[in-house]
Amino acid sequence: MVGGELLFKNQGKRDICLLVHKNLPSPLLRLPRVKVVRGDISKPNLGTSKKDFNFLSSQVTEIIHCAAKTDFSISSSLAEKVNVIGTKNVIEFAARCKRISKVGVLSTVYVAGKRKGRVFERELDARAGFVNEYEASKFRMEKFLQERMERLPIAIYRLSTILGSSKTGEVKQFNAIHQALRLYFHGLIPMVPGNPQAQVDFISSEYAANSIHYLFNKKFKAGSTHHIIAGKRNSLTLEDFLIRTYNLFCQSDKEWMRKGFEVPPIVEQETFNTLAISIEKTEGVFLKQIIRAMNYFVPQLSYPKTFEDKYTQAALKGSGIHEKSIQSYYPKIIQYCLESKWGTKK
Amino acid sequence: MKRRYKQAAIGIGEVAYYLPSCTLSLDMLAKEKKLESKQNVMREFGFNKVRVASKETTYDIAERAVKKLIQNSQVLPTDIDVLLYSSALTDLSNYKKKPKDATELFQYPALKLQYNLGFTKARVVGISQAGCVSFLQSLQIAYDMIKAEPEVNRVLCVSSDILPKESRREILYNVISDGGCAAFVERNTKTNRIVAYSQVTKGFFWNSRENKNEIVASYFVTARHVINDALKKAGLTMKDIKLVIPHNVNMKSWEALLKILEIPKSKLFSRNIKRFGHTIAADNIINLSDATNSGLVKRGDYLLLFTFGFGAHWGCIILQH
Repeated sequence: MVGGELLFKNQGKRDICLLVHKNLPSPLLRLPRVKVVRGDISKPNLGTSKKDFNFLSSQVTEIIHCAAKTDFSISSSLAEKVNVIGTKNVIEFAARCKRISKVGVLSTVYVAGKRKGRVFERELDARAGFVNEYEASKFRMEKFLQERMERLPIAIYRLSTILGSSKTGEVKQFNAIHQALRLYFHGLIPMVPGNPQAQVDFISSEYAANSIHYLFNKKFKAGSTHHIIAGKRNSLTLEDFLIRTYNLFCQSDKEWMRKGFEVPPIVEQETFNTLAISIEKTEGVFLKQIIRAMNYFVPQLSYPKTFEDKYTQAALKGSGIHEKSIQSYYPKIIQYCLESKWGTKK
Repeated sequence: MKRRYKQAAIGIGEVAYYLPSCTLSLDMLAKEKKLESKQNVMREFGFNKVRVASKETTYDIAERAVKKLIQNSQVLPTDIDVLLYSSALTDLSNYKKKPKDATELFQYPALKLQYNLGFTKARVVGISQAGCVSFLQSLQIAYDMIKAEPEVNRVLCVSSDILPKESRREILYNVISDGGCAAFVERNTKTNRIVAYSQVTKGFFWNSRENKNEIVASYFVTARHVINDALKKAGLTMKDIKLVIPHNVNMKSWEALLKILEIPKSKLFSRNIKRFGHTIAADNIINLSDATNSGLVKRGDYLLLFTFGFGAHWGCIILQH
């Protein structure tokens, strides 16, 4: 999703897009400055032909590596194949590009895993463990990148969860949070584990793309890691987020209010586990699926943390790029989700 | 609008229950294909056996519970002002055969009970469509009647339910017993003063079969809502409650609900979940009776009775013993 936004933003440059995402919007591929090379990052030489590989390695000067499997329920093997091996292949390729000057790699703030408290941009610590294979694979990816930073000009951009467009509310990629909101809308969330006062950090797609574009093009610093986050100033607590969402559902859909759904209770992880284990033992297939899907990411809410973005803010100073408060654009996101029927309506 | 319960000492004087003697274990139920889940899962959920009506009808169970109540209380049948007869399930036994004429559709068990047991002075009211909350709801209606009408001093509440013979005995991860209960709600009672009542009904869930998952998801949050509302009306906090008198649904759901409400497990009177399973609308009275007879409740203790019923209804009543 961010890759597409970045291609649009890179005016005046010749881009070579390595097509690994089957759903890359076709208008992007028709841009005259974009040359498309089909490949597969999980394969040696990025799955390209020898001719294409030679062409790419002689032409490419900058790389922004956005390809990843971001599904929280991803298996360990697929996460390793795409997020770790895939990144290794991209870096191997970069090393063979004679004119390479910059490599930017997109990551996630959730490489912090189950850590609690303040998380700084330069930290990378696995001791607390991870909630899902996605987080763990991104951690291993960053570890590899750290090793290669001495030899290659690499910068890491750790993104928070992207909610959608702050301008239009459009959601280009429905991720776990949107799926959770969909379950909430359908009255299927029995309880939410977490700390009511913990901050839930979401960013808009504009802030994600603008920040990365600016940091990469104007403030590139080899060896740096940036947190692209909303921060406390633009976030809500978990409790506020659930209440606000409830109110938006009520406002957006009069029928919804009549159903009598309520704001799900925020409980301790142990309480959620009691329910999850019970449901797992029953024959209720659908409920099991819901609880399993929730279990891939909701435990993260039980590890309250705030991300520091000192380096990012310093680098963005004077750029005019700043994140908006979630409160200013969240209604548009909900509206879009409801109107698009959670991305199913074309 | 807040109710001012403290002004009138209206409460539950005497309680009684009747359970059929036929007992079936989980293994037997599984053998007869009466469970949806595996019996070891139901065992883990706290169930062990259930009572099943073999020869008794719904009416028989109601009558036996009431006879026991009359015998224990020594109340004269003519001293009952109102009879509230509640039933969660439609008694299909009357409709097995095609009625000879439409008048057969008006054969009400509540009226039969009034005549057979000589409650000649009692007005009769039937309560239905409230699922497992039927009995708690009838207690509240009895309270309101006594409060509103000076000539009403004693209301007999009775409830009885039997699952159809061919039906499975597991509903939404709970194992079901047949059974019934009865109670007197009286003016100037010395025990079990009704302190507060709260009920929430959410008609969206009327189709329990189709909305099974939504019901499970809404169960906990609405239970918390209703219990907190009853406590608020009573001017109490959870710490003031000596004992939670539950509906006998699976222990795992109670464990989760207790954690949400921050109630220690020791406050839950849960022993009958294993002994009887869930008896539709009679659980709270069965448990109130057994907890009292076990000496677990002392004068002045606050008790919290909670139940959930398909429809869907959530009900909570707070008593002061």
